[in-house]
Amino acid sequence: MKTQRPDKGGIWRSGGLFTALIVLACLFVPDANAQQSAKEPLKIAMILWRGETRVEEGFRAYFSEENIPVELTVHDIGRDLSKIPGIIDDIRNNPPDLVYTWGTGITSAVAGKYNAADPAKNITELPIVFVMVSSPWKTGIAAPTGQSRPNVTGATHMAPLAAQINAIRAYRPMDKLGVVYNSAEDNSVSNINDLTELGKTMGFDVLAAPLGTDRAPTPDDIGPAVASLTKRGADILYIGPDNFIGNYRDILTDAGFANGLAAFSATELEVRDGQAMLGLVSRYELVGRLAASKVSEILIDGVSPADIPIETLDRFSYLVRLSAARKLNLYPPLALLDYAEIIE
Amino acid sequence: MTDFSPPKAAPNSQPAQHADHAHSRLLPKGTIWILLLLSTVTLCLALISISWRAADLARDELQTEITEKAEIEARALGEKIEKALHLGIPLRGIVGFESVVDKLRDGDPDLVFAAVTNDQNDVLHAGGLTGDEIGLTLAVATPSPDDTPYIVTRLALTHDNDHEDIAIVLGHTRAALMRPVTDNLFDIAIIFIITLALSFELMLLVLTVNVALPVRVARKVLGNVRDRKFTLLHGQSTHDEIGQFMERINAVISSTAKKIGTHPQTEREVRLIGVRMLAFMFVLAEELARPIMPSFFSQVTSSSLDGQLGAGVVMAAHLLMVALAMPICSLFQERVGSLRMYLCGAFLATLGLFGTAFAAGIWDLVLWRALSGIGYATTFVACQSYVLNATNSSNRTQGTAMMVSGIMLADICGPAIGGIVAGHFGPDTTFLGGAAIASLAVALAFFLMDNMVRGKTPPPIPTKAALKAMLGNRRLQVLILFAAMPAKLILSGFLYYLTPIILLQSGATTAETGRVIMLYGLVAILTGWFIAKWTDKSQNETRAVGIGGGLTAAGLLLAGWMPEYATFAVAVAVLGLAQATSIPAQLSASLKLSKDFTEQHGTGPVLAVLRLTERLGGAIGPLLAAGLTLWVGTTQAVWILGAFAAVSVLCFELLIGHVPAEQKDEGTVK
Repeated sequence: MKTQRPDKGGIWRSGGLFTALIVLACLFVPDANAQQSAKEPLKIAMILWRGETRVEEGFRAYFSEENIPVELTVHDIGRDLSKIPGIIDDIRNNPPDLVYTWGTGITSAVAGKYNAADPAKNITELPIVFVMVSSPWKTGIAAPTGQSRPNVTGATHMAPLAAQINAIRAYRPMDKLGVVYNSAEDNSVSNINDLTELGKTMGFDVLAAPLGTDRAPTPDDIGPAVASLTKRGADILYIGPDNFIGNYRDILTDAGFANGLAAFSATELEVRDGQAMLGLVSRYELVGRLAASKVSEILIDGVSPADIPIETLDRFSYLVRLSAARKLNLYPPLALLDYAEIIE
Repeated sequence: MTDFSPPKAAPNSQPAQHADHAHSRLLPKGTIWILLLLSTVTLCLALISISWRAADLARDELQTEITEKAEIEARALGEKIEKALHLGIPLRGIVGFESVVDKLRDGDPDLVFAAVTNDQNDVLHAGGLTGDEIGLTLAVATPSPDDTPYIVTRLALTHDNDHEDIAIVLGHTRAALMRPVTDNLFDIAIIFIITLALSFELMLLVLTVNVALPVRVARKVLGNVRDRKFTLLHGQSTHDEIGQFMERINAVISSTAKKIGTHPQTEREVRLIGVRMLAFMFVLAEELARPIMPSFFSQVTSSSLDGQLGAGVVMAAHLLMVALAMPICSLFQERVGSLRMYLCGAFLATLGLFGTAFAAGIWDLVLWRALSGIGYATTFVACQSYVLNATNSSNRTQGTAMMVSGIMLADICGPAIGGIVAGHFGPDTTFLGGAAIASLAVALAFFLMDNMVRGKTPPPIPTKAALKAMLGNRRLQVLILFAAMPAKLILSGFLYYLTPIILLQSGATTAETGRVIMLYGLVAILTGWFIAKWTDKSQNETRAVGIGGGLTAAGLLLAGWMPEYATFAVAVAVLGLAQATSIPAQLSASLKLSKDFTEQHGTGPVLAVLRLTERLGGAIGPLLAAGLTLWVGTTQAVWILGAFAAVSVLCFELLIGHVPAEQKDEGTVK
């Protein structure tokens, strides 16, 4: 009895059948995004500090480009943290799939601290993705290394402090760093402590001008504080993650111009929309996209927020505002022009 | 690379004395210095004239290249200036020009200054030199460019916002024209020294074979005639005047002998000088690739084993084969004969080196290196036994010194020239070069080795009881375990394995690495004679062994503390000094410590045990160094080897005087 062996044509035919099956499988198995688009849109409640910024532009752009339908409900607190409890009640009444928070103040109030979250006051039952929190670990929003919070993750935006100092020194020599800050803001105080510590190793002094030590700070306090820093020999003004200073950034930079002091900012807005002369910043749009990718992981891929690391971008932009440099007659060094983004 | 002790002497001979004499003859006397001087002067004159002409021809081409490079640099600077101006930064408000120039100078050591000037030649921005200095230079350079020490290049920029004409001006040092010479000065010096050494070797060979030996035999024959004996004929045939003259003398002797009824014998001397060239060649073939061995082996073995460990395994396999093959070859030498043994060894070495160049993985590489090891051991034993068999007690020291000096020369030349070859042509070509030298040695061996030289009687083998008594000698044990074995372990682990790896990793070129390894042999050869004299004078060999061990530890700890190029050079030189102090002293000390045994059984077994243990230590060295590298990293591995050397020398010093001396054994020779 002859044993039948598949001839070449047989093999080819079986190969063709296999290819056809793959093609059919590809045709009939839609990708995850297409599947999502056929479903209900993702419901996201956004709690913002002062309306939408470029962060939210990037956030929206991500979903749009990925063809993921989203239904965003924006809650703008207009720089008033007392509105948070009311917004949390609204969210509970009409629960979204996820809550998006902007900044340290809002995130602290909404998510609470990792070891002291109160289910009555804070949102613990919904996933939260935060943006623009400069020091999530220092402020207790994130759990310490080795622990995680079950419902909180996010994207931070600050370049490492040493990189910020190097960025200042790439522009001009700096031995004394002048900082005007709101002493009532945890993230500002934490940042000042870190800078002071870093100064010991990198060889600079932090000249601190705290506002609001005995009463709530007012914009009028900024000018005299800058003048005092000038007298103390500050080489440059540092604008850190401080909501109060962020609100009145122009008053600070104008005071700097009046005293011949340039301002460095760790956040984009102060250079791009303000008059800070230079900054090493995360681009807001990219921070928004990074946060959106985390939302996508949670709501589409089903990953727990506890398993998604809190991250910052791995590249930062060096911004130089030439109009400010011109006012102070402090032009950027030639070498900087190779990589800095110059804003007129 | 080999040790700096003379080869193992025949049993019952007095190798310690030979060693001493060998050292004392390493610096030759008399006319040989004139020969060396003549070689040097001739070679210098030839090289200088060739170099001068070559530099002259290259100068124009270099000038064009420098100008092109300067234009590229000027354009790069100009683009930055134009960008600043385009952004609205005023020309005089530009900052940071100096640091940009400094950065440019980091990549181009010939660039001295750069400046931005206006149409009045005023220096607006300067880097490298001050504005005033550049201004003065430009004032001279504008009318007569050749009167300044700089090659000045000017690139006009369109104009700035104020419509002021500006230019970028660059100044390169004129020394740049000699850069190809100055950059390769060390390589040139090394090639010069090696060419000198080779030409000296060749001259020595040619003169000895064609002049010295025939004249010596002629003197003997003529002396015989003077004594009216007519019993010797000149057998050292040459085709020159001496040969023709002696042929006539031979005819006279033959006819006279016939008349008086005697039968004259042909007198000739063994061409011992040939062994020097052969020893030089087989060591050179192996040493050529020394600076690149660990890195090349790592690369080849990286697919199947961690690269560093793979290199250690391959090097250990080679050294282990050398250790095992040497005593085995010694057993067959009498039967095979030196020439055939040398031919076999050189063939195996050729095959091994050729295969190494094309090795694709760890297993074939181990095989090729093992073959090389067997080949190396075989050629070594062949040369060594040739010397011992071709000489008698009156000229054995001279023969030994000849072989040792050939080996030493190769130890010095090999890594240095191999480093240069590897840098220019790659590691595989370097191994192929080694294979070519080994194959050349095969061809030359026919002319340089006398086939009539054979061992007469096999060496006596001591009884088991005698060997047991020798191995039970506590002081000998201490010497072997804490001095001989560690010395070779450190030599192979540090010098062969860690030094090339660390230097190449730190950015040194293969030529620079070869130069550092060369220092080992150079220092050893330069100091060996004086140290041997001192050791003989003090008659305290164990102290010399201790000092050598201490120096080794100090060198290694220094290299581990500051793992930089210069420190490694110092450490390797110290290692050369240490080994030159310790190794010959170990030999003498081993014979002194086993005096009772050697009186009855000769020195052979003691030396065989010492050599075998040393070489096994040598085989462990790369393996240990590779393991340490994997475990703690290269620098820490040097530290640990240094600490091991320190502990070894400490144990040696503490124990050598406190363990009982050997007991007399009752064993007899079979």
